[in-house]
Amino acid sequence: MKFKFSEIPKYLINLFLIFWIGFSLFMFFWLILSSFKTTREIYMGVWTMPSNISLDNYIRVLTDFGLLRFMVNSLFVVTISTVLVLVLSAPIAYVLSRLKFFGSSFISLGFIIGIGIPIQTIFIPLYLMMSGMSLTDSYLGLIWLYTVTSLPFTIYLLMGFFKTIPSTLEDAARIDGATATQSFLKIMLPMARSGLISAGIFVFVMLWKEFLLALVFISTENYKTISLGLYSLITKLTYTGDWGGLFAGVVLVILPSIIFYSILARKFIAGLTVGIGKG
Amino acid sequence: MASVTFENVTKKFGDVVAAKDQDLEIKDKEFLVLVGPSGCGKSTDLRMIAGLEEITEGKIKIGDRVVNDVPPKDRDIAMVFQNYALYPHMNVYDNMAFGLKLRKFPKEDIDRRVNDAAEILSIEPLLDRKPKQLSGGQRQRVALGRAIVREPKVFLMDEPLSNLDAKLRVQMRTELSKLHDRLKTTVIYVTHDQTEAMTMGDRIVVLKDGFIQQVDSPLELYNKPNNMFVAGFIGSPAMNFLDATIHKDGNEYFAEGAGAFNIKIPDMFKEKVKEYDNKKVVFGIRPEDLTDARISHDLDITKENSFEAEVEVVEPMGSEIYLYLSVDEHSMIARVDAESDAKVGDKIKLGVYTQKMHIFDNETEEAIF
Repeated sequence: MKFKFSEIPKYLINLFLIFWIGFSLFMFFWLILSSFKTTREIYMGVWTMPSNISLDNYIRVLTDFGLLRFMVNSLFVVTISTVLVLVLSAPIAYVLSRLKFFGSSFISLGFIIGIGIPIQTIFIPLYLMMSGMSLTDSYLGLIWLYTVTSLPFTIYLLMGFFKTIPSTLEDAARIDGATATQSFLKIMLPMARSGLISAGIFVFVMLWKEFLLALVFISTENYKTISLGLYSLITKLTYTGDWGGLFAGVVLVILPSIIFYSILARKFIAGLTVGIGKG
Repeated sequence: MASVTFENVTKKFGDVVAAKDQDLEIKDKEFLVLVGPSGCGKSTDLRMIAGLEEITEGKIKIGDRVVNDVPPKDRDIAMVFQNYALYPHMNVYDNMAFGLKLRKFPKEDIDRRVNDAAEILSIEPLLDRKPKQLSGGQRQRVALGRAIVREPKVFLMDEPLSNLDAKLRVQMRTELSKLHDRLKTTVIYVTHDQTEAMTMGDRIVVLKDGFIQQVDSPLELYNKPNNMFVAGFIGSPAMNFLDATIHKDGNEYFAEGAGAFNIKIPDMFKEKVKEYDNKKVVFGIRPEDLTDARISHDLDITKENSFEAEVEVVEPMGSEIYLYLSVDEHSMIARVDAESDAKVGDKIKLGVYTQKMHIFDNETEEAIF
C-alpha cells in the first residue's frame, strides 16, 4: 500500500482514537479491578490482583452507606421521566415535522434554542417557580424538571426521525381509512421505533447521571438520587479512606448505563445516524 | 364501479398552477392514462381525486357524488403509489388487511378478501413476509393487492411501474391490463412513460403545465395530435419538426424548408393550408414515415415527396435502422428498413409518406392537419 501525505490527518485521528480507547479501557478495567480490592491492596499497586474476589465493598456501600436507596430513587424518577419524555415528545415531534401551521417554525426554533440554554443560568427563576408550586424536594418536582429539560433534545432528535419517513405512508393510511391519530399510532410510531429507543437510551443515561438539578432541588436524604448519593459517598469515604468502597460505588452508578447501552447499542447508533444517508 | 368527472378543476400551490380549468369525463370501467412530463400536474390530478390534495376551484365527482369535501377514506377509491408505500413493520397479510380492519370488516371477510387477492396476484406464499423481504416486483403486487381487497369503485395508480426494471415493467404492464379486464373497475393511471400510456390506456390524457392538451384513444393521439407538444411527446423516437413556409405553385401547395426541402401537400389537406399561403409553419413527420429512397418499395419517389439529408449516426436495431440525419442545420431521425446500407457521412435521399405528414401553426403550435 502506498503512503499518501494527504492521509496524514486520517492517521493522526486514528492514532488519537486508539489512544483514547486504550486510556478509557484502562480506566474502566482499573475501576472494576479496584472495586474488588481492599484499600490496602489498592495502595499496593495498580496491577495487583485482589487477594480474593469479594463483594464486601459493594455490600457495604449499598447497605451501610445507603446507596441502594439512592439507586431505587434514581430508577423510579429516571424511568418515569424517560417514559414521560417519550410520550410527550413523539407526538410533538411528529406534528412539528409534518404539519405546517402558523407558528410551527417558531415553536421548532424554540425547542432548538432550548437545547442550547445552560440549565445553570435559569436556576433562580426555576427555583422560584418550583417552590411556588411546592414542588421542591419531591419526586414529582424532580420528574417534572427532568421531563421538561429533556424535551427539547428529544423532540429535535425525533423530528429528524419522522422527517425521514416517506409521507406516502401517511397518504396510504389515509386512503386505507386511518384517522390522523390512527395513522400516528399504527404507522408512524412503530416506524419510528428505533428513534424512540435511541431517544429513550439517551434520556435515561443523561438523567441517570444528572447531578445539578438534583443537588439544587433535593435536600431530603430520602429523595436523593444516585449521583447525589455518590457525591455524599465521596465526601464520606475520602475521610475514611475507604477507596475500595468508593470504586464499588462508582461502578454501581455507571453499570446501569453500560448495561442499557450494550443491549440496545445497535438501535441507538441506527437512531442517531438517521438523516445522514439515504433512508 | 363509477365514472369520475372533472368540472373546471383548478389547483394552485401558492402562485404555481398545477391544474388549470380542467374538464374531463372518465367513463365507468375505463382505463384512463394521465401522461406528461415531470411537473405537468398529472400526479396532482390523481391526488385531487384521492382527496389527498384540496381543489382550489371546480368540482370533482365520483359517480354522481361531488367529492370536493369528502375525506379520502369515504371516496371509495384505492391508490397504488410509486414507491409502493407498504407499511414496513407489517407483514404482507396485515398490509393488505389494514384498510379492512380499520373499517371493522368481520375477520372471515378480511381473510377471504386477502386470500382471494393473493391468489389473483400469485402472492399467497408471501403473506407472512415483511416488505423488506420482498423483491421490487413482489412489493408491487402487494401494493396492488392492498388496493384490490378494498374492492373500490376507482383504482388510482401513480407511476406504479417506474421503480421496476425494464423487463419486469413490461411483464407487469400486461398483468395490469389483464387485471383491469378481470376486475372491470375504473382505473386512472399516471405515468410519464408514453409507451406505458400507449399500451395500457383505453384513452390517454396528455398534460402540460397543468393544462389538458388532448384526450383521445392511443391511436388517435398518435395519428392526429392536436398540437406540437402532443405530437412530440407521443411516439418514440419523437416526431421530427422542421421550420417551413407554405407556398402555392399553380393549384398545388408546398411546404418549403431548409436546403432543397420542398414537399407537396397532398390534395386531402389542401383546403386546410389555403389560408397559410406564404406563412411560416412547422412541418412534422414521424421517423417511420420517412424511407430511404434507394430501397423504397411502396413509394414512388419524386422531387415533390423527397429531400436530401446527410447521415450523422447509424443505429442498427436488428429489424430496422435508426438514421440520425441533418438537413442543413436541422436534425432529424428516420426509422428505415434494415435493408438500408446508409453509412455515416452519406448524403441520401429520403422519401416522405406525405399522407402521414403534419403541419402545425408556427405561432400557436396547434395542428393544421
